[in-house]
Amino acid sequence: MRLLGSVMEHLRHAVLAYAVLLVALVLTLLASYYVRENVEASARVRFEDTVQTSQEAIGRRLARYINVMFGARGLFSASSEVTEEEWRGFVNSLDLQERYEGIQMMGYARAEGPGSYPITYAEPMDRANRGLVGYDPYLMAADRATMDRARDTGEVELTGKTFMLTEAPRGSLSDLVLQKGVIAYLPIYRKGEPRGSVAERRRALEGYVVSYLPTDRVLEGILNESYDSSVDIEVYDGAGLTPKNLLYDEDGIQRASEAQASSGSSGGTFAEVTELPAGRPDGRFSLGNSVPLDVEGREWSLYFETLPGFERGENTRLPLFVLLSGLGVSLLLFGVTYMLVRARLLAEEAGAGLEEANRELEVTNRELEAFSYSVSHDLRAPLRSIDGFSQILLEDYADELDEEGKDYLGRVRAASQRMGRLIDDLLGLSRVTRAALRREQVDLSSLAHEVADGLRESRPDRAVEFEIEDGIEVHGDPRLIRVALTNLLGNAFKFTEKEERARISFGEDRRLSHLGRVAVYYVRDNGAGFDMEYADKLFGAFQRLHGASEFEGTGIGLATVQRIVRRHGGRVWAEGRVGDGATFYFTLRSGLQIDPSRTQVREEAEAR
Amino acid sequence: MSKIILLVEDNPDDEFLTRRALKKNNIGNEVVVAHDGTEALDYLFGTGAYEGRDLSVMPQVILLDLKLPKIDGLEVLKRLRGDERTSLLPVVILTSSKEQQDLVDGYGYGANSYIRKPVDFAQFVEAVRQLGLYWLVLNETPGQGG
Repeated sequence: MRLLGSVMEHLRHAVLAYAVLLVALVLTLLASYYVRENVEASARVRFEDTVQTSQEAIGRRLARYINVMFGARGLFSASSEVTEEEWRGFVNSLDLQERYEGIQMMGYARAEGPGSYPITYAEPMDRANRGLVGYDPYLMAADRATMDRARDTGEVELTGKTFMLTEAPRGSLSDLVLQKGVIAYLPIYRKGEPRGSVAERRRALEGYVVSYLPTDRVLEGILNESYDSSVDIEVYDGAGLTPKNLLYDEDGIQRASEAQASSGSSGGTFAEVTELPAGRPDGRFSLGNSVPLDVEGREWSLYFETLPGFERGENTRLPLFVLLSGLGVSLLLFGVTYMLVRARLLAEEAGAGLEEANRELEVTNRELEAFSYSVSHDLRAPLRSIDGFSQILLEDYADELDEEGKDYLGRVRAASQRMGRLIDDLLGLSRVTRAALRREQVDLSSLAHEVADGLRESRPDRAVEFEIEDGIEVHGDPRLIRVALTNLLGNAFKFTEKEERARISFGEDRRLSHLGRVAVYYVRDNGAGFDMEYADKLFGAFQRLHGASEFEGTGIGLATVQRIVRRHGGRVWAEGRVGDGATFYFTLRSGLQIDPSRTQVREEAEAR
Repeated sequence: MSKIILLVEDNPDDEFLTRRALKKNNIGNEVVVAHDGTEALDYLFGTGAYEGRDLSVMPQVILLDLKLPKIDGLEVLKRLRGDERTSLLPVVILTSSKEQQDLVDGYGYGANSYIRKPVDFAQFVEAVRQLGLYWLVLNETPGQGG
């Protein structure tokens, strides 16, 4: 049940992390989508803007180029006859090079008879135009239709796409180049004749003002002026965006037909505003649009498409950036949340475990308490009876006991008293383990002096020389340290009993302190010593290296010392030689393990 | 008038040894023994088996073991101190326990002295001698004078 509970708990927390991830991802997608929409909208606006500006610019220029033809018609209505010089003067005055850049030729086609309209004047008279004089465009079907339409309407009419000779640009190998363009015709009527109806206009026709407009040059002029170079423009005659009708292409790549091919339509006409699907097969952001342009009653189509450079004007990488950084942040958030949740979960588990351990420890401690109370009270009571009644026997029945019997009773008493001490020592040992450790500053030196004084008083008959280093202070539990020091000095006192000149010293071993990076204290005596073979047995409870008859003791003292030292995080070990005294070292904090082979110090058995 | 010693002790061996230690020290006072806490309280307040006892006679000193059947020594001490008739009676805790908590509790509930029974009978005799000397000879108590 607990496992299930913890799994549910885990899921509950993990769900939080996943929820954070989900929310963050959704927000990221929304943000990315919004940014993308924004970028695209802004790009579209810029594109539409460019389209409109260009459309207007082209329209204006064509209108201006065509209006100049009305000026030429004015020339004819102002004078009875226009000579070649007058025509040349007029055209020169227009300053075609500067003000009407791209117009290849302004000419006059005079009506020589029915169906005959040869070009009479062609200005400027350069190599390309010279050959036009005498050429009759009316013989060409396309031109004838346009000319007839102009004659009937009295307005400028444009031919469809045609080709014309133009001066080759500088640096070209040939003199003349054939260029695509359109030809505009404006009819001139004889003065004084009525021209209200089509029939009257046909009768009054005197000739045509002819204007050769090579579209590449005419439009190049415009588009150089103020144009977004990252948008390609193609101009088509009529509504069909086919190479046959192409009048002008800024970059020479016919994108309109490409776009039509990729969008699956088969060269059909586009709607007034046709938006190609954004996003081309190569994944590039792109916009395409085709708009109609009315040029003197003739429909042209302008096709615009963004070039790769167009993107640079927009933060088209922003949506991707938002998406990626959003993803990163989402994952990070998820990770952080998950870690937090995990950490909390672990802490909770650890806390629960700790609580349980604490409870168990408390129970154990209470049981120990009860146990040691029983030991203290109930185990000692029978001992008192044994000792007491033995004594009574010795006192009251002394006459009936021989010496041997008295000796036995003495042994009974000694044994019971010894057991009493054992019980006391064991209780002391368990108390050392159970009592809470309260560290404070302890003056080890004066503590050692006190213990030494106590020992001297206990055996005034003995002359023991104590040598105690002054000024040793430690941080530890004063009660426990007193117990430890009492045991160590008491041991030394005990085992020097047979020495004539007993000497016991206490101090800090600086060399070992340096090696172990922690203060190492020692209690040294010149007493019975011990065999290093058994050094690790010294600290076990009830372990004794000497017979009870040799030295009294319960064998619990050093076990108690070891527990006290360990509770302080320190270690205790000993070195000695039989008959040559012993030294007990101890630390009260954890430090480096001192290498016994280098220090010739036998370490205590490793703590479990 | 003989000064009565009330010995509250459940262990017959200990009772015997205590009596003997008293005798050894020539303390001939009357010893009343209560074998558990209830009996001790009955004696002191004239209830139960001691119904109708002359309550003007109170022990000079009470030797109180802590670990007792029925009502333990500390509880007896608490009730003693809670009753004005017995609140001033000298109480010496005489027990096997050396537990710190028992010492603290004992004095906390108003014991006048705390003596741990040693295993060594010779030492026990010496302890009884000292407490007899102190509580039966040297010590003056209110209301019992003269």
